[in-house]
Amino acid sequence: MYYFGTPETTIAKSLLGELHLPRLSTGEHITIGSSLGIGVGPFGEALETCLCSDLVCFVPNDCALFPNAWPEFADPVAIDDSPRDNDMALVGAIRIAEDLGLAGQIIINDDANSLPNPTNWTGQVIIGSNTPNPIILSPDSAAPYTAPYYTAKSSVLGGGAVGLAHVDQPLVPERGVPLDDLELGLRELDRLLQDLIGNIELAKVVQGRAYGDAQDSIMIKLKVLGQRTSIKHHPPSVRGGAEVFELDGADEGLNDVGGHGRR
Amino acid sequence: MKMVNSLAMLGALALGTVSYADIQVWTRDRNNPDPLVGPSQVSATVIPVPNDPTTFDVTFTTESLFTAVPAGSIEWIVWVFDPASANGDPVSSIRSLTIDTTTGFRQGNIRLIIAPAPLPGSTQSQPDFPISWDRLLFFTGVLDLGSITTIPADFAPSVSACIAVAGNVGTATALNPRDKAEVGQIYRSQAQGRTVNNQFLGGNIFADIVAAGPDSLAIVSSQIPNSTDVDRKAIGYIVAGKSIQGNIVSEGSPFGGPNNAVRSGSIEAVVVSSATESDPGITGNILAQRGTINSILTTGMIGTDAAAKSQIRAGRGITQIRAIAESSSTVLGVDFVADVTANLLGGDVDTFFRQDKSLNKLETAGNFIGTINADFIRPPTDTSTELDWGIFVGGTFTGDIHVRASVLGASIAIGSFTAPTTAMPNTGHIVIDHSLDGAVVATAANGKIPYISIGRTPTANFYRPGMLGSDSEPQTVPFRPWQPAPFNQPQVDSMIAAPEIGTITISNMFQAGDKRYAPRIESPKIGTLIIDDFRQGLVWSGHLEYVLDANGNPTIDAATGRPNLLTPQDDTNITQKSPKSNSAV
Repeated sequence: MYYFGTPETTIAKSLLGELHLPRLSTGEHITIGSSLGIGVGPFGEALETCLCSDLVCFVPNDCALFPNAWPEFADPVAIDDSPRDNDMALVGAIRIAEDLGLAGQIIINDDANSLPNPTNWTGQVIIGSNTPNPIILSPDSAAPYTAPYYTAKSSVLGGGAVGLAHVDQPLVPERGVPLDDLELGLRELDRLLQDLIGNIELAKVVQGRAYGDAQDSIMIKLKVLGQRTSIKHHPPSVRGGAEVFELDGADEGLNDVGGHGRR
Repeated sequence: MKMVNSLAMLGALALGTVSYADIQVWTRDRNNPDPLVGPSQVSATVIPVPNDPTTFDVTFTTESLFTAVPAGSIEWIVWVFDPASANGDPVSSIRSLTIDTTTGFRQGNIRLIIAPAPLPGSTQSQPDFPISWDRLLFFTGVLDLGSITTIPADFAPSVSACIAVAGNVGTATALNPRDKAEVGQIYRSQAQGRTVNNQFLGGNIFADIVAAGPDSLAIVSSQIPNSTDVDRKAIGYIVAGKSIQGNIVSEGSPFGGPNNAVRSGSIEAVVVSSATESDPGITGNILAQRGTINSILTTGMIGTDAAAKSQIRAGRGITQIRAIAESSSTVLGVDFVADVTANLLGGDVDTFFRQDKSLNKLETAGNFIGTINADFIRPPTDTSTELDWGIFVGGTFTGDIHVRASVLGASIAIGSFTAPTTAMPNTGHIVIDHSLDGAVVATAANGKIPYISIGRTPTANFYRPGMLGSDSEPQTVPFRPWQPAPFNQPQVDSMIAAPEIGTITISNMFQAGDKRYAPRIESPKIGTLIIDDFRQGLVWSGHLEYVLDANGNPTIDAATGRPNLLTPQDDTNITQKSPKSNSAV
């Protein structure tokens, strides 16, 4: 998006249509509450991208009621770079036009619902969609772009990441150090995300993922507190410094959270 | 003194030849013969009236009518006119016309016609109301008319009036209070003005025009005065050549009558026909707070003062408010400074007929300052095949739009919206509580939509809220980025589009089962985008389309083999705003 002022895109439930943007810059987020692409329903059933006007169309045959359900029309240049190509509106995709255009973060399944996680990412994230050789992150892509556990470094994408939220153990805080400017070791971060620390349920912790480069950006979201913070990864230094993850900006409202970090 | 000023004004308009002494009042039994089926020339009786040479007021009594007409009729046609109008232009005026029922016979119903009676030997006359009140009265009865009053005031609903003057209705200097013509129904009030020595004179309605009675509906015709006048609105056709400065009020009646229902008080048409685009065409309020307003057509401005905007309010819907001459299709660059409310009666959204409390069309090539409230923005009927229903403002829209239910098969096409401010935080907001089945676009090259919300306060037990899609194929070649309706297509496009959009928040984006194409949002610059359930559809920011050659085909970049895309607008000069500000654009 050409963000200016309030860089926010929120799809509270599923994105089964399409977002097209020239780039996603550093600091910009796209948050998808549930699925990107055709997902599964609350009972594990296939969730069709059908054209019914029902709130949710679970039964594929419903779509047969509408013979025009999958309209197509001639694309004058046979590529997907027009907002008026209607078939684009039916696929569940995020298209970033520029090469290396993903510098921000995309979170899928931000609600951390109980669906099997991989099925929440069945659509495509396309980086460089207006270039001859776009990168397509999707379950159908070959490594290293196979979603959701793609292994491509973020530098290949533009510095950003796409994270599929996992459903982890509930976290509950106890009295401890604030998270503000907290630095955690890798194991400590893992414990923070996995342990029970206190008696306030933090519900679900959304953990984005990105591996590889130093300074890679990961995002966690402490949902109950409505906070979101970036985690910077500092790899081990050549002089023996510890590998740490630095949490920036997790300040207000988090003073009772912690217990495993070191400042 | 006010009266002196008024008379001076009247004299000036008549170019020096004014008489106040010759007003006559004629009457006859309305039903014998039935004027609607009888001969056009019927006998009538002149009754004596005091033409006060000092005040120039005219008064007659129901007792005089009762005694003037044989057989004790209590339903009368009454002509009030300058006898000169029977064979030429009127030269006399009435400052105040009073119907007095306080002595003698105190009842009856009156059709009051301010036009020449069918006098023996007359060459022009108005035998009765036209069958349709939207027909012109061909002959005016007086030069100027100040006010119409009944004594007591509650006799007013028993009077229906048609008024045709050669000059003005009301006096320009009588503003506090204004002159007022208040009767039960006003089928017509025309002050079209006249040209004398190449000078346009008169043509103003300075007085308040008030219909104190309800519409005449067929189902309740036996319950209302003038019961044969069925299926007519309480205010019919109000036309002025130059300006309407008084308030046009159709009161209806509160609970009562059949089914203890609100009785509609509606307005058929308010027209200013000869004002220029910079003239104050309509500066008063137009109120049908228990009924409907069908047409407001003006060649001059509506309202002039943003601090005292004209109020246009209907309880049950407004068909059209347009900057256009009656007989023309050219939309004028007229500014509207008005608050428009089509759903004043409130209550539940009518999910069955879907017409109640709708605004069908508002159109000007000028600017709009004010607010718009309606339950629906939609065509007047479900069978309409036209695509140009909705809100069309060619200039800048300073204000907000709130649609309590849906935009259905219609468009909101605005040049650009003014951004909100701290003092006016809702400026530039479009809030559609239930669904958008149509287009919202900013048509100017630098047009902005600061804020649009769809489906956030949905109507219960109604179809699914959000953006629905369309049956029309999107316009592709040539690409027209900010147009609400594609060529040769059956429906309005399903699109939100603007060069810049601040915030978009939508409950659902989907392609309804009866739609062939999914909804779209197109804008090079989008601030905040929130969609709860993005089931089908497209949000496209950045480059919008191809660079086309002379034949309308995309040009291809030789190096990449890809089409050349239009360059998005420079976004480097966008001022960063606080995330908590609505002033995103």
